[in-house]
Amino acid sequence: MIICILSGKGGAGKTFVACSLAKKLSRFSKVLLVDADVECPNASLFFEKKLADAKTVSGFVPEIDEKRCKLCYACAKVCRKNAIFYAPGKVPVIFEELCNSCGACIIVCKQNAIKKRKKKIGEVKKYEVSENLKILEGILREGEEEPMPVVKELLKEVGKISREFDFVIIDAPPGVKCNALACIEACNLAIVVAEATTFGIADAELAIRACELLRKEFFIVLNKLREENEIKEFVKAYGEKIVCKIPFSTEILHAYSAGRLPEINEIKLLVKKAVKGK
Amino acid sequence: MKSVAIVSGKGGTGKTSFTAALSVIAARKLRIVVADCDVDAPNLTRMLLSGNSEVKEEKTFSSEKAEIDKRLCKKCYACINTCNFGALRIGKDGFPEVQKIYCEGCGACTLVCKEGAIRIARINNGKIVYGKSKYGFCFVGGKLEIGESGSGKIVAEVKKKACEIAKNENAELLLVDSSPGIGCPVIASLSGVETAIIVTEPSISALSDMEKVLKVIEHFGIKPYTVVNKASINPKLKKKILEVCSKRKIEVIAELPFDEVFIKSVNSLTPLPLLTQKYDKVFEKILHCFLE
Repeated sequence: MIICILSGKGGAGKTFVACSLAKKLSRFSKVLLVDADVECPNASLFFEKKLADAKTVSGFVPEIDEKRCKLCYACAKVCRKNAIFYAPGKVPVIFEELCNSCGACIIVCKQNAIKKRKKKIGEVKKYEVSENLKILEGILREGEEEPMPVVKELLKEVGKISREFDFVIIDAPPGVKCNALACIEACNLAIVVAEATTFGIADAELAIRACELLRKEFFIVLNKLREENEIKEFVKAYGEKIVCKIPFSTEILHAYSAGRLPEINEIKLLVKKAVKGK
Repeated sequence: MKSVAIVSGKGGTGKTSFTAALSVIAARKLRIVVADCDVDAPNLTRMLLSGNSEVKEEKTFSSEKAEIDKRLCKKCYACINTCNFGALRIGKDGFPEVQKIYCEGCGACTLVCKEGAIRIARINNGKIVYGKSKYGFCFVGGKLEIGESGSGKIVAEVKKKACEIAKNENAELLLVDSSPGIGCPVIASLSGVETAIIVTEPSISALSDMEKVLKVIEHFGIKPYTVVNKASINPKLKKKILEVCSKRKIEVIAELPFDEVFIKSVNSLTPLPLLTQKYDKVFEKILHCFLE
């Protein structure tokens, strides 16, 4: 059973819900917690853990062999990222920051003058929290633009080992762009964490639309709930989809800010739902 | 013109409420333009353009995807073997199928297809919106279609429009509200600005993310400042943030407490200074810091 936790808005409580759910489920089953917010992964901060494995995620950048280059500039013309610059009469120059490692330049070069050079773009780390709980964390290297290759590598790793676990909980990145959708696509069940504010609800609706687009079953957790009045239309529209409502509490806020996961009853409802879903 | 980007790394630290409040205070004294570059969750746009009927929209076509013409395809699968993004797979009908989430529109597949069955098509991946906010200043925002790629490109278009308007209006200040994270849209938000304000909060997650976004900011040679939001939720960690900033010689230009009025600001889509004047001085001081 693979569960993806998403929200649309950042700071809605994805990591809190993902970690609390993983911790609770790991009391009686084998759980893999996956931190797919590779730009800012935080889930592992909430656990005492041992690093069990670390893999480098690499991309490549093309490198031009000056001796072979016949100055045809086919490489520069084919590059849709405009990462290859040329001045007539000179060997083209590659701007690594703009390159997305598509390899089109290598294909068009008739002289075979372009080779691949490996480049580290991130890491996938595996941690051991307990016999029952493991964490897989993707990390994008600072300064790199594109998180997708790290997310893909992470999900590939999940695919390899998910059978060893009863539950896989994916903490997705905020937003609804392609990297978040890749996480939704990998799951059997999505949990949308909706922060109970005007911003939070609007972004949660985007996340819900993303689930519908990929035809994934989903349910909703309302988080930091103050007055239901503020969001009554949302509650009305998604009535039975909302399986739990976590009230706003300064105790949770304090504990969570310090890296603790306070036990709250609402998570039990989620555990029930997850077990039933299995 | 000065340009300032508001970033955070971690989501939910209060970037958007902060930017809205700073905009309103700044607009009292300066000609400003505000850009919402969180095109995944454009909440500043929701707040500043709500109830405004004179909003202009332009569709963006900054995403490109491969399209396969099945009439020409001979199922050689060269495209599938070439794609470095794993965006092509064999579909149920045996023809190669483009998975739009993964396709980068690089065109490598078109180069290896001997039948000429693949073309790269421009896709409408979002829009930019602009107009005058209720509070007197010009505003530009953007929105990415769900599941699309190219958010960095939409951010670049939002900023291009913002600079265009700023030039016409002879603006003195451009404020850019970034998305969370450290990837493509954040880098696009930071591109070309001289100052960045990191809005952080005293939590272990925000602290860890602040250090990540700081590396990116410094990588691009931008001057960072820090604002500690919700400072009262954890005094110990607040101290830690101040220590980290002092060690790295980053000026902490404001501390804002955890205050329900910020929630009220979000829920009523009303910038903070219109609900209370008690933080006006703090925002004036912030402005003063980077306008010096």
